[in-house]
Amino acid sequence: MWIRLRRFVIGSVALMASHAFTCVAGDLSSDVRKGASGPDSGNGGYVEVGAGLGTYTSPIVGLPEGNKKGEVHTEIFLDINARYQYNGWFIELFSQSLEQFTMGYNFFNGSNAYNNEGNWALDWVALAEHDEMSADESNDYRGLKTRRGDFMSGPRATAYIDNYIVQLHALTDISRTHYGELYSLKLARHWQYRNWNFHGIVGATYRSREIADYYFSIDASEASEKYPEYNAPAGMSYVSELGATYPLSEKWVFRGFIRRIDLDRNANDSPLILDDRSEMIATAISYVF
Amino acid sequence: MEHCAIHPRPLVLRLCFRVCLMLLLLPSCITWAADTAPAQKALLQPKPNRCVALHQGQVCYQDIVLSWRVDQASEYCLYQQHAAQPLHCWQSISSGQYSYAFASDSSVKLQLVNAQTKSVVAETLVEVAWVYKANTRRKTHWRLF
Repeated sequence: MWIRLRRFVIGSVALMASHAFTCVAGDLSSDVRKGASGPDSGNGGYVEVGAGLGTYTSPIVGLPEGNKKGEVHTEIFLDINARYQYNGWFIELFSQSLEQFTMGYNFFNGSNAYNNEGNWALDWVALAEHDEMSADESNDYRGLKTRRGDFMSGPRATAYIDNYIVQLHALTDISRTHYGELYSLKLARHWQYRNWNFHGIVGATYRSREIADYYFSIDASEASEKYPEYNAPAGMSYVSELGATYPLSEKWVFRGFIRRIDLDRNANDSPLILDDRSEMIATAISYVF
Repeated sequence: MEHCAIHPRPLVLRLCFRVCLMLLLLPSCITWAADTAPAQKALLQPKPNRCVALHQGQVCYQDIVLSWRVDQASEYCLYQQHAAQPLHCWQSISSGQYSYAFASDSSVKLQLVNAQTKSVVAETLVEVAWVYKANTRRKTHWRLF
């Protein structure tokens, strides 16, 4: 079940080709849930493991297999959140983020010279943005060419200003999969009410025509009655999310969120996209090691 | 302990064992004040005695019930350490309870003070803990490997 949900998340990101979901950076998504006011710039890290329940609609054909427009899927998933940093090198894994796994190097940390309130971080990151779409993954892709998963890399800039976090990604494909580019900008804010930490995230992601074309075009050689020929243009997608995190104890944390993804209006012109939006609600309880 | 262990008589052995056990099990949150009159025993106990916030630096909120008990009735006041004003005072009683809306970003020591002698008769600590510790180095810097 976790695999299927994970695939939903990953697939959702993949869908961004010209439309798809906005990716929420692991760091931003995790930091705003923690109520952090600065980057993790020291050595060390943490691991969390838990279980969650998620309900979602998926706009992508074949994710999950047999998926229909507006169909609601409910699944139990393994909730894993982990971050470790040593001398600037870091790895991040946040299952409630739209990004699955990020590795990178933190080469700059700064604070506002005047009031020491703003904190900044510049990282170079590498991550798998788009998952494979093939008949091995879902029978719905039978007759279509395999779309390989990619690996993208580039700078990530994060600013922490009071209770706000702003994050920018500029990524390019380094896996020779589609040679595309991705730019995303996200704004997050957290509020504390007693020991509850509430958060909100809004963001926009641009995916170049190369990405859209690779994942969501149907070329003449694979076109059929079910999947007619189609050329996917570059496009935007937008994410909005509200959530809450509560420390049940020093070791146990409760999380919940509701997320909506909006795609370009013409997103479902692609035979591989069913709808121009998706919703997800999830809750999880995790143990912090 | 060594003396207890080698004493052959069961009655004394049992007595020693009890004393040793009491010393071992004495809860850390209960303090017998050292600067009070020798005969004065006092107990000040918060429930719960720990507040957990999500991230280091956040203010932690917890409704706490403080129970106290002393041997001699008098006027007692409950103070947050270093605070000029008491949280609450009681007249001519030897035990009481106080519901306390705790809110702090660090651990707080609470003291029961005899208002007549101005002496601390008991104190306790409400600890603040976090799930995520701060892991930041605030100084601006560049680094390359």
